Amino acid sequence: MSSVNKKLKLLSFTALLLVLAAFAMVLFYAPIEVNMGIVQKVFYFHVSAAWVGMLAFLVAAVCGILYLSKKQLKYDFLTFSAVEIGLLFTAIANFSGMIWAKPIWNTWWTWDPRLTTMTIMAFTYIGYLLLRRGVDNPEKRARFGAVYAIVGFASVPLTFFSSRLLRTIHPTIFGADTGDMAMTPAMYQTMAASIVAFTVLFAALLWHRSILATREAEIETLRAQTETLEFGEVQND
Amino acid sequence: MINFSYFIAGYLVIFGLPGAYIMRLVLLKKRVDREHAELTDRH
Amino acid sequence: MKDWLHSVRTLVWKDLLQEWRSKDMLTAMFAFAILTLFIFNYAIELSPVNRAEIASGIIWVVIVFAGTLGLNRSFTAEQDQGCFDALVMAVPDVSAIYFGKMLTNWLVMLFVSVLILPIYSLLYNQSLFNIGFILVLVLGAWCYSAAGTLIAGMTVQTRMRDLLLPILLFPILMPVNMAVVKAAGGILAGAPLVDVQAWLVLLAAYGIIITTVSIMVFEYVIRE
Repeated sequence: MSSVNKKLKLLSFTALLLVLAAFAMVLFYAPIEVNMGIVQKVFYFHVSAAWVGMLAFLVAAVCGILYLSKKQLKYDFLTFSAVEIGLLFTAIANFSGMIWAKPIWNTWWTWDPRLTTMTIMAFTYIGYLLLRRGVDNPEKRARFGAVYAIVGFASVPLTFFSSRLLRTIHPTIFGADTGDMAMTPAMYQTMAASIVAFTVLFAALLWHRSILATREAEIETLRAQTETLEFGEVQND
Repeated sequence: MINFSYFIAGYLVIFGLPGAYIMRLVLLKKRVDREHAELTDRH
Repeated sequence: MKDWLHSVRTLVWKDLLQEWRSKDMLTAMFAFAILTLFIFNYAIELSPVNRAEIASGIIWVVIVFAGTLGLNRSFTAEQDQGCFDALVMAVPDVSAIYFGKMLTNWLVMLFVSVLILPIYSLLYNQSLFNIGFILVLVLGAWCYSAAGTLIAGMTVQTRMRDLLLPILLFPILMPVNMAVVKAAGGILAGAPLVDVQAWLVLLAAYGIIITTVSIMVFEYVIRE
């Protein structure tokens, strides 16, 4: 158990370091973009968060498939954690996207296909969490969660393509075009660093959350056991 | 200057949300540890 | 294969017959659809200019909302009486149950649409009797039942039941909403097939993908 703990500590520490390093790069290494000014720097972590949001959903769907084929609860805990953390990063992506868009295009929301798809994905995540809450039986909960994670993930590319089709047919819908940015090599490097940093952070958070989920489930079982025992004792009196 | 305040707001979101989540995990861990101790102490 | 087809046909016949005898669900869906149409009348100003685009949107929204009523009901019979196990044993393969339920839901939705279209035409003095328009609705209803049957199979077994279905279903259904409204609206406005065909391809792709995924996972929804 302690070697797992050590690895986790190392991962967490590395994640923190990488995030700080990436942030330093954003502040000091990346140039200020010509057209957009300093607020453009929000973009690095906005994209990273969006990427992690997608990755989390993929992890959730894969663990869902693994659960259905192997029936081991650890996969359910991974799916659940991936969804929760994915929701976190999707929220970061959405809000940072809005904050970035406002000073540049003077609107909070652009019906950009990627942003729209991410928002719909967020609602799928929320649906997953509500579904889980509505089922008491742990085995059924895991099963249903897996099914919904899989179906949800299958719908994402379809949602993306339809949003994009909507945009090409209606270019008059006010939209943001990231092609407006002039990107230098330093910016690409900073972007890569931010993506790597957030991905490692995701891995660390995922690990921590799954362990906690496992322990929460242990407590649920323990609690059920003690209740049966106490009930038994009362009956014997 | 307005541009700069959006920059600040953006990074408050980018680091604040994960920070809040990590704090939530820490509190959750404390609660889980406490309940685990309670339930095992009962015997 | 013959067995499987036979099971599907029997299941569809059983559910439709059950519904026809009681007629609650059909009546409720129909009433709900008409009332929603009335609400739209007060909510949206329908000038002749934007009618084509909006008509398809309104019709589809009405169908979607009425459809959730039907979906909720499609599994309650088995849920309330604990018949899931019996159903699983009675068919050669669980996918027959999925197909049967999906077909029933689809047919019910089509039935409600068939009733709604003339009423809309009457109320808004706009003819909706356009083959292309109707075909798009048929395709859209299939995609809707494909996803809805799978999700309803789960939500009927949860604590929140009816409340949870729209929350789980609607995000997954977004591509269908976009495609149906745009394609149907385009056809009604007389746009050439070239403009509309991308949406039709999308709908077909959605239907095929979601049905395939549902067939693969449906047994985990029904069986312990």
